[in-house]
Amino acid sequence: MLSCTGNPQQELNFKIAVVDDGIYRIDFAALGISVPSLASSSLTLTERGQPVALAMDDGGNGLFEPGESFTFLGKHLQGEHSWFNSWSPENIYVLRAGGSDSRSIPESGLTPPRSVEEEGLAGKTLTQHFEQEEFRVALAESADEQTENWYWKRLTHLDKQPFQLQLPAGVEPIAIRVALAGLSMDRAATKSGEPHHRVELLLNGTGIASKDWNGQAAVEISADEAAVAKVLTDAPTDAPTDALMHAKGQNAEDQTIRLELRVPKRYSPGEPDAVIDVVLLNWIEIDSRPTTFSDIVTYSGPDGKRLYLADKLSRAPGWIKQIHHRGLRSDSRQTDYLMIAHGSLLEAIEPLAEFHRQQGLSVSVVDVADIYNEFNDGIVSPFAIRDFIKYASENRAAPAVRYVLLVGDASWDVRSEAGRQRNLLPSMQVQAYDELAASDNGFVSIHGDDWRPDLAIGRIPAANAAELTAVVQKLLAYAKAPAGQWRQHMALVSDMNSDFQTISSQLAAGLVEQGFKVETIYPDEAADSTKQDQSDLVNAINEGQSLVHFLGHGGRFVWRTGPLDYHNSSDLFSLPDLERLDNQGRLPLVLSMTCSTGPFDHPQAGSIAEAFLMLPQGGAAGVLAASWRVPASQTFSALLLQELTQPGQSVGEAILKAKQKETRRALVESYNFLGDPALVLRISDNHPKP
Amino acid sequence: MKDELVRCGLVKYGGCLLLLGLALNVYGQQESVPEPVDEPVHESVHESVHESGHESGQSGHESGHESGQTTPSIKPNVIRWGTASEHGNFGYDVFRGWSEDGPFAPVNPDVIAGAGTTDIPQRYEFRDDSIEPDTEYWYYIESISLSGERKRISPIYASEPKPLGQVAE
Repeated sequence: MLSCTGNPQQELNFKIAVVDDGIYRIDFAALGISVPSLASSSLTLTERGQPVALAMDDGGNGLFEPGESFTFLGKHLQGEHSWFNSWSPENIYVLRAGGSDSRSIPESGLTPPRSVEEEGLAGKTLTQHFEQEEFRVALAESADEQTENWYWKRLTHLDKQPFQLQLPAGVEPIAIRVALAGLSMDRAATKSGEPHHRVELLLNGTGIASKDWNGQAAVEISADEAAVAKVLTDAPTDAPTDALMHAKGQNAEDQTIRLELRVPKRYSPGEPDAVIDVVLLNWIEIDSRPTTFSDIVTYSGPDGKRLYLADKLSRAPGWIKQIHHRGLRSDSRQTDYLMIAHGSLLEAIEPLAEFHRQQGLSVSVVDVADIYNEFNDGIVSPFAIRDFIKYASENRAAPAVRYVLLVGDASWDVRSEAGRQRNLLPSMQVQAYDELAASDNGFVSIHGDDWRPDLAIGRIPAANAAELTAVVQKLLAYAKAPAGQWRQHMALVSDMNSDFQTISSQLAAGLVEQGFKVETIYPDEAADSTKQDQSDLVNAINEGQSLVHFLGHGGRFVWRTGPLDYHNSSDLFSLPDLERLDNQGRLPLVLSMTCSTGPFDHPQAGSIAEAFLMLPQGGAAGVLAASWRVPASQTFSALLLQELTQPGQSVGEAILKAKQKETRRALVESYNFLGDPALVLRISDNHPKP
Repeated sequence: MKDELVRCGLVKYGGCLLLLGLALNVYGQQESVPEPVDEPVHESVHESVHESGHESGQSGHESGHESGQTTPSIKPNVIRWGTASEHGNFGYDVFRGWSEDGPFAPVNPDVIAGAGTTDIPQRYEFRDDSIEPDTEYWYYIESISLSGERKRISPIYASEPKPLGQVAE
């Protein structure tokens, strides 16, 4: 079959990124290929493996050539349970050209713009969906359900302007539906019988519906045709023209229709019956009759005829990239260590891969884009990464994969450009208490249906190649340096809490029994300031510790001397202290056994765990830290220390074994290791190499 | 063996990891109040949160102008505080009294919106314009959770009496 006139045997594959619903037009030139033409009949388009109709405009000669184009109906990427997808805004259509197994394509096409009457659509209903994702929240009441985590707005009576939606010109609603969920749950309201939530829906300033409900339930407010018509069309027959204009908008110049949501004020400071009311807006749907559209088109696909407005015509895709299949599914080579990296970081991670090869490990460095292409039809998803890890673990030659390193920063915000740029390698999310938290554990929880990890995993959350190169050089220097006496030193640090200090002392005693030199650093409650404690800790790290274990109160940027106490507690170690470190060549493994010091997936903010690892020359060789709130656990700490002090055992496998013995899921899933999981602490000169 | 959620502050509200450096900072009396302990972090992170488009609360400042400026030529008392993280937080009320022992009453016309749930540091400010000249006031901050629970999260601080004749801010 002559499918590709420039190279008959070659099959070309392209990814076409689509963000919004609409009719997309693809020009030949946009493919960026040098062949003079492609056989039109050889082109197939698929979405998630399913054929998609395309309309070819090739002049009738059967060849897709420069100056010609084809169109298809593109749809935004939906989530399994939501309008948008949590992992990516880009739906991917795969175009295949050439090859020997081309399939027939359902014919379809665009009609020229026509009027509503010409289309026979007069009196029919058009439904438009309005939704944006600006606010992420995990509702506690829906923790065990697959529900929406992204909302458009958080609404309260405090909003300076009530939420408003100006309907597009030409849309006159006949029915309106608004999807909401409750966030607050005022206990006083529960006792008094007042509803937790009350929302009013207004059209051009006139109330048309309201809703009372309780809890964090998802609800809909509906305004039917009668209620809408009363506002928009029931103007008195003798009403002056400007009155009718007022009903439809602000004035004669502004004829837009305004939808508004209000949370009535039921709270006043000091009032005993005040009600806290916070609700979440999910989406709005408007039914209308397309009476005024003069430029609509229809597009006939395999699932019927669709109506489209002219502004959705001839959209250009976000980007088109050629796919080069790497054969990840057919690669059967034995692999000890999978390094999965964003494409921009492949070169920078190679020195670490080569080091481990020299140490005897078989290392495979994989571009995450290839994983998406071969395991998820080109669409970004952490589950594609897990599927690949599982596949490689089960299908490559024995012995099976031991280590996985994720190379690249993550971001839970894929809606903003800045967030997407930082999401080089996405993390999975787990519901931790009342929030979603980053968790890499799921990538390696691949055997059985439990939540425990099966492989050792780590992540280097580098945002670019320069950052990664600096960390790799630091880790290589650590691994290659002589095993000095400092590697037998350990520091156990706590805050002012006596229970935490007791636990730390017991852990320290166990390490001393093993022959390690252990320093305990506890803030002095009687001291006027914590400056001495801060200096003690910085000095201890600078002197060289193979391991630093902190147990106490902490947060994203800080280890604290205690909980909220505006008289006594303060910072024990925070970002500015990192700058005071001068421990190049004497890097500790840091076990940050506290809340939320390693939430590495924030779209803008970093964390102290990331800063520890990413410090170019000093800092830490690796950090185990939680991405959200966690309970303090002597058991988990003891398990970790027991495994980490096994001669020759890598950090990743030590953490793996400790997590496999840990019974609390929150600990296993919330603690992530930032660093190279194949790193060996070399706490004794006699320890064998991995 | 003791397992304790490693958290601080707002514990009754479903837990809060950390509430840092609550600094009630009254103009003209800064020497008597603690400085925010995480000032450098606040500055950089605070901006980035607003740039993100994912604002989770009005953590900027709240003005008491709505309550009426009875003495426009007096500098207002400005109360500032900050949090390192918040969990299920609806907002804050500022209480004011004429002595350390009270009685106290809310002075803000409406609740000062909190950040909900976040581990990004937030800063807040309330300007009390409704003060009398040469009068000492006492303030504290109360937080309100999304379940309606209240908790005083600051000590009681005194403001410095403000004389007449100063230029209003």
